[in-house]
Amino acid sequence: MGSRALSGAPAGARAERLPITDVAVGRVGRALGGLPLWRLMERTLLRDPWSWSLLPVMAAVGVGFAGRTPEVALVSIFGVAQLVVPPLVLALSVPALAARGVWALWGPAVARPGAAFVAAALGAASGLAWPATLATLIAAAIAGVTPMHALALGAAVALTTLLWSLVGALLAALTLHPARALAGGLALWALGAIVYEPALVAFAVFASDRPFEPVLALALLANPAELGRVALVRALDVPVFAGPTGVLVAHWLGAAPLAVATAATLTWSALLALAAGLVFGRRER
Amino acid sequence: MRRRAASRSAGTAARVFVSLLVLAGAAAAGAEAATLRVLPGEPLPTHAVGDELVLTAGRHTGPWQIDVPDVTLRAEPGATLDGGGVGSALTLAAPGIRVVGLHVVGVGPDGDLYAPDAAFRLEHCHGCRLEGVRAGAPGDGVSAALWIEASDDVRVVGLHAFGSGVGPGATTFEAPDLVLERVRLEGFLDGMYLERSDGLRVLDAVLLGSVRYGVHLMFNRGALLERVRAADGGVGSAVMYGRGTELREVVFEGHTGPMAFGLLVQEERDVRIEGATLRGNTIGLLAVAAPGLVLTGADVDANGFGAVLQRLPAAFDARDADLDTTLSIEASRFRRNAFDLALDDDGADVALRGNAYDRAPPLDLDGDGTLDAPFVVGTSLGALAARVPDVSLLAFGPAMVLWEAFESRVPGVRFGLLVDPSPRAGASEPSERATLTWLLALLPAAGAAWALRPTWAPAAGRGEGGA
Repeated sequence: MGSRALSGAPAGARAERLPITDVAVGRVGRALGGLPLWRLMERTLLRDPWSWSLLPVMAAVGVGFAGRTPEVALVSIFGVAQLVVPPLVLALSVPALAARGVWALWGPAVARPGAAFVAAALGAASGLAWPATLATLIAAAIAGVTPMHALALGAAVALTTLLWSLVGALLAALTLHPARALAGGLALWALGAIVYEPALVAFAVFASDRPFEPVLALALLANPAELGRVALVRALDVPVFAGPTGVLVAHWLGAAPLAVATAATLTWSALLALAAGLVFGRRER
Repeated sequence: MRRRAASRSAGTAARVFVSLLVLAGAAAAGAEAATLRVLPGEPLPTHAVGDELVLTAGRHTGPWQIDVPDVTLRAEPGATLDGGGVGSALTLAAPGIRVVGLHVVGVGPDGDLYAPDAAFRLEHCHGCRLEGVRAGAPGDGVSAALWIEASDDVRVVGLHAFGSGVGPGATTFEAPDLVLERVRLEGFLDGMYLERSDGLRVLDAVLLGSVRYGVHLMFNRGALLERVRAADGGVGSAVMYGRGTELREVVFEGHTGPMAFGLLVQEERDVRIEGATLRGNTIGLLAVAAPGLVLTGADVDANGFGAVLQRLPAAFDARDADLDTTLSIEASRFRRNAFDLALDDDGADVALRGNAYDRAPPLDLDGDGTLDAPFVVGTSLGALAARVPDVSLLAFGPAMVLWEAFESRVPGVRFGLLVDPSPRAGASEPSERATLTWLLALLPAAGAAWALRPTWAPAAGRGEGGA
C-alpha cells in the first residue's frame, strides 16, 4: 500500500522530471516551511481504497443509531469511531512510515530527516482524516445529528486520526519495522480503547468503599480518547454525569469542555510529533 | 295591683331585652355584609365576621394579619401588598377566609423549610381559599409563597409566584384535603414541600427551576398529583415515607446533575404513576424501598437512566425488612435513554409487561404490535452504574459500545436479567432530517478531492533541478 507508493515515487517517470521537494511538499508543506513528504503521503493514502472502507462501515453505524436522541447517537458514533478509525489509521500509515528501505532512499535527499518524517506522518494523518471525517459525517447525517453537533463530531474524529497517526509515527520511528510498529500501535489502541474502560469500571466497583473519585476522574481525563468522549458528552449535556466523579470531571473541564479536549489532544499530538521527529532524526536509517 | 304593675314592668324589660338582642343581631348581620374599601397606605381596617375588604389599586403596606372568620380580602387590579421585608406578609389565622387577586411583595428573608417568611401564611385556617393570587416578580422573588399549617380543607387556585431560591414555594404541615390547583412556582428552593397532609391534591401545577426539589411529598396518605410538571430543577421531585400516592399525567424533565432524578419514590408504599413523562433527567425514576410501585403508560425518554432501583443504605436495611421494592412497569415506552433500566436491589421484584423499547429488535412478523421475542432490558454497565453511579461516565465509550453490542447478541452475559416477555413495537422514531449535516459532509469530500487534484503536469518550461 503506502510503502510501495512511497518507495516508488522517486524512481517514477514523473519524479524524474521534478525536484524532490516539488513532488513531496506541495503547497501545504511549503506553507509549513518546506517540510517534505506531506503531500506525497497524503495523496498516497487518499488513493488507497482501504482508506475509504470507513464509508460503508460508518454509514451502517449511522443506521444503527438512527432513532436515538441525536446527542446519544453522536457520542455513540464517536465511540464506534474510536473502535474502527485508529486500527485503520495504524494499518495504513505505519507500513508506509516504518519501511526502512523507504527512508534509506529518502533520508539523504532531505535536509532535516526528522522534520521530513513528521511531515510524512502529518501527511498520513491528513490523507486519512478526509475519508474518516466524511464517513463520520455521513453517519451523523443518517442518525439525524444537527450540523453544529456533527461539526464537533467531525473535528473530534479528525483529531483522533491525527493522534493515532502520530502514535504510529513514533512507533515507526522507534522500530523502523512495519510489523513491529503496527503490532505496538494496535496493542496501544487495544489498551487505550478496549481494555482501559473495563479496567476503570472494575477499579470503581472494587474501590467503591474508598475515595476513588479523583483517581477515576484523572484516569478519564488522562486518556485523550476518553477525554474527547467525556468532553463531547459534557458539551452536549447528555445526562450521564452522575456521582461525585461527574462533578469533578465537569469542574475540571470547565465551561468549554470541547476546547479543553481539543487543546489536550493537540498537545499530545505535538509531543508525539516532537518525539517522533527527534527519534527519527537521530537514529540510523 | 302592685304585683301586676311589677309584672308589667318585668314584661316590658324582657321585651326591651329581646328587642335589643334582635337589634344587636341585626347589627351583626349588617356587619357580615359590610364591604370596606382600603386605600393604599391605610392600615387594615377593623373588620368583623363576614366582612369584605376591597384593596384599591396601589401599594398597601403590611404585614397584615386577619384572624376573624369568613372575611374576604379582594384586591382590585393593580393592588399590591408590601410586607415590608419582615416576616410573612399576610397571615390568615381563622377559618373560612378568602383572598382574591392579591399580589404580595416584600416578604421577609427567612427561607426555613418548615417556618419560612411567606407571602401567604395560613394557620388554623380551615376551609380558607386563595384565588388568583401572586407573590414576587421575576428578579424580585419571595422567600416563600405559601405556608400552610394545621389547616383543613384549604384550596388554592391560580397561584403564581417567583422565588428567591432560599425557601419553599409552598410548604404545608398537617393540611389534610388541601387542593393546590393551577399553581405556578418558579425559582424556589423546593417548589412544593408538602408534609403530613393526607388526601392532598395538586392539579395542573408547574414548578420551574427549583434549586432542590420540584415537588417533595413526605408522610402523606392518598395524595394525588395530576398534570403536574416539574422541570429544570437541581435535584428532582420526591415522594417519600407515605402511602397510596397517585400521579397522573405528570411531567418530570430536565433534572441533570450528579444526584439528579425526575422522580424519587423512597420508602413509600403503593404509589401508582399513570401516563407520566420522564424526560431528559440523569435518572428518570429512582425507586428505593418502594413496595407496590406501578408505572403504567409512561414515556421514559432521553434520560441517562430510565429507571433505577436501589436498595436502602445498609444502615437502614434492618429498620423495615418488608420495604423491598416491587415495581410493575406496564405499557410504557423507553426510548433514547443511555440505560433503560438498572437494578441495584437484590430484594426487588420487577415485572415488565407490554412496554416498548427502542433497543428491542423490531421483529413483529404477525403484525399484532407485540414483538415476537422477549426483550432483555438493561445492560451490565447500567447495573454497575446503579451501584456506583460514577461509572455512568463511561457510557458510550468504545469498549462499552462494543460490550453492549455483544450483550445484545448474548443476553446471558449480562449482570442480572430483566425480561419483558411481551414487548411492544413502536418505540423508535424516525431520525430527524439532517439536510445541513449532509451538506456538511461535502466538506471533507471536497477536501479529499482538493488533495487529490493534479498538481503537476508535463508543462513546458518547468525545470528538473533547482530543489
